[in-house]
Amino acid sequence: MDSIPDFIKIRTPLFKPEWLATLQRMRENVDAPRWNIEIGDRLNQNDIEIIKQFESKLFNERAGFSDYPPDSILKWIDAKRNDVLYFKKALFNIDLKRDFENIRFMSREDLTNRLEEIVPDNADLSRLIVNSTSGTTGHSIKAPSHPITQGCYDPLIQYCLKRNGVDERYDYKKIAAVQLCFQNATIVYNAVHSYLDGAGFAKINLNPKDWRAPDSAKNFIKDLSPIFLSGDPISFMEMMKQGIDYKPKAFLSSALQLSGELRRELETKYNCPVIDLYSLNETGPIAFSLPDDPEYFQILPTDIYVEIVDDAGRRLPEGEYGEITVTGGRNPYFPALRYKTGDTGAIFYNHKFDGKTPLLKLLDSRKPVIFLTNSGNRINSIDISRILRKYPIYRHQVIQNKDKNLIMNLDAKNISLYEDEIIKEMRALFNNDIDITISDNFITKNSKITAYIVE
Amino acid sequence: MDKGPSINYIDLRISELPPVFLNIPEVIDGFTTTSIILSDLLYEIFGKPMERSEINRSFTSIKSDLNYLKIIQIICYILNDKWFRDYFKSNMNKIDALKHFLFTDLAEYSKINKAERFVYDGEGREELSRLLFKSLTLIPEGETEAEAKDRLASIDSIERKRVIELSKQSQKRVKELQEALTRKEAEEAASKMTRE
Repeated sequence: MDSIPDFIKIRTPLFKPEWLATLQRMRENVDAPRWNIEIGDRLNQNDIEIIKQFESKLFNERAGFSDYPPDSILKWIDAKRNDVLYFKKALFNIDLKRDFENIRFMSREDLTNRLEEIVPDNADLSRLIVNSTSGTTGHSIKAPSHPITQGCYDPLIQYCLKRNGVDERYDYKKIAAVQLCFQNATIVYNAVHSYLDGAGFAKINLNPKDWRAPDSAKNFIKDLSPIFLSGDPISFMEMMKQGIDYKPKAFLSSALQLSGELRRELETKYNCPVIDLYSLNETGPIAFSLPDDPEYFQILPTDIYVEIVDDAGRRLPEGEYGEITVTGGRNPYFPALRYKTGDTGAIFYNHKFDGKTPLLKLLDSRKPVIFLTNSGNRINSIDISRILRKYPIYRHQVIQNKDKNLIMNLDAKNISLYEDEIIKEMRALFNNDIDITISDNFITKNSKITAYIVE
Repeated sequence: MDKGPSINYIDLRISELPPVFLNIPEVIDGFTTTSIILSDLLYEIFGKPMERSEINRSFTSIKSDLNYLKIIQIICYILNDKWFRDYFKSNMNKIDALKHFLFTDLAEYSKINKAERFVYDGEGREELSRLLFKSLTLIPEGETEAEAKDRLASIDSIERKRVIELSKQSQKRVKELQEALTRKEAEEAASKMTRE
């Protein structure tokens, strides 16, 4: 074990000497990008056992649910009554067997302003991880997470891949995935995942300024030959634009809505399944698109309960569109209790597809928005979120007019303190060739605020 | 759930409560005057007084809790009203719910409320009226079930005490968590293969 450098052991506690070659294959690759951070999986042996149990249930106990939470979810809620202040308050006078629909909703505002009531009293904060969300819905929030929560992504992804016919064994001789981004700036790293027996993973940014030579990204991906490629639709579009022709066994698209047109293009060009994953930082993956009919997303984890509610908070019947609301999950710092996601969809309990868990149909909730500089360069809305989340902004809406100038509606305390700094950073992002106006005149549609609008 | 009279109706009735109902209960022939008032009321509305054994069972543990006894007397006064007498005549099965309210539900409220609050304080009167309605599964006239539930939750003194205690606990936790969030935000995340 002495041959393993400390900076690796700290971040990947279960790292084995034979995995070093996998890391080196990525980090010392002649075409490697400019890595800018060291990240590991932070999992210990006990975590691995817990993730294995989660995986077993994920694959073998897919009982599904209908219009009332199953006993497993009710038990999960009940167990938290005494440990979670938020639950103590919300469940006062509530008989779980009868009154689930009377439980008040948890919102992003609760996560922002009352996180201490949501994190269980006895939670060990030493393993807390903080994920800042991208803020595509207009609120950037700091979502607490745990290495086990992150570790469970591996079996969840494997389930989606298997349902799409990609059934692979993973070990340290393989690169499991390369995640593509296309942003002005983002973290770029390589890692091995203990849960997949040391299989490699690299997160890269296709922005040309991250690479040594024009063909580096293309060569790097080809050399690693990852089993699948993950990313958002914008990064996949950029991949095609850059002529990257590596054919993975699958694409796993997340963060933004994947259009039918881009899906078909990817499927035809790369001849592999394209899976759309509906996932939130706060809750983790919620549903994945079905291979037979990608309009439908099947609820993925078996430890969540999903319901659809209208603006007045009433539960909607099967097939009607409303706000997607989630209860349950595996994040020890964020037990979701009727958490309103801000996304719109409809649920279907009875269907012809495999697996008993219900289906979701999503509506316009995660549409990718691309801004343009005056000279025509594309700017991913995630880059704007990355800037805004540094400031104490409760809600934002960024509108690009036809003349390319920006109106930024910001809901924040003492905005005048930060206004100049925000404008400076935004102007730099847009090559200093646009005008920016800060306002608080939010445009609403059906009582909802869209975070990013390009006219 | 049945419809009851309006909250205003009960409020007006309580505001006319004769002061004698707030007198310190006495013990006569081994019985508290409260048990005699209640027994008379039950005879009046259900046609059956409380039996000696039941009085002993129900009042032994509270006979020296004068505040609790006064609150029971207030309830007796409220119920000795035409609307309730008529209601109980056609709802004889509500006697158990009423006794449960008097000897179980009210116990905790009597520990944190003076009987006088339920008479001289507007919110106190409303709280007592709504607690009584809840125990008899009645909805005040002019309200929906959800509205009645919401309103009671907002004035319920036990709920209020509970929230104050909870928020004291939470203040300690806020500090602890804020420190952890600030420290951890500066650290790296854990690797995962998709993004949100």
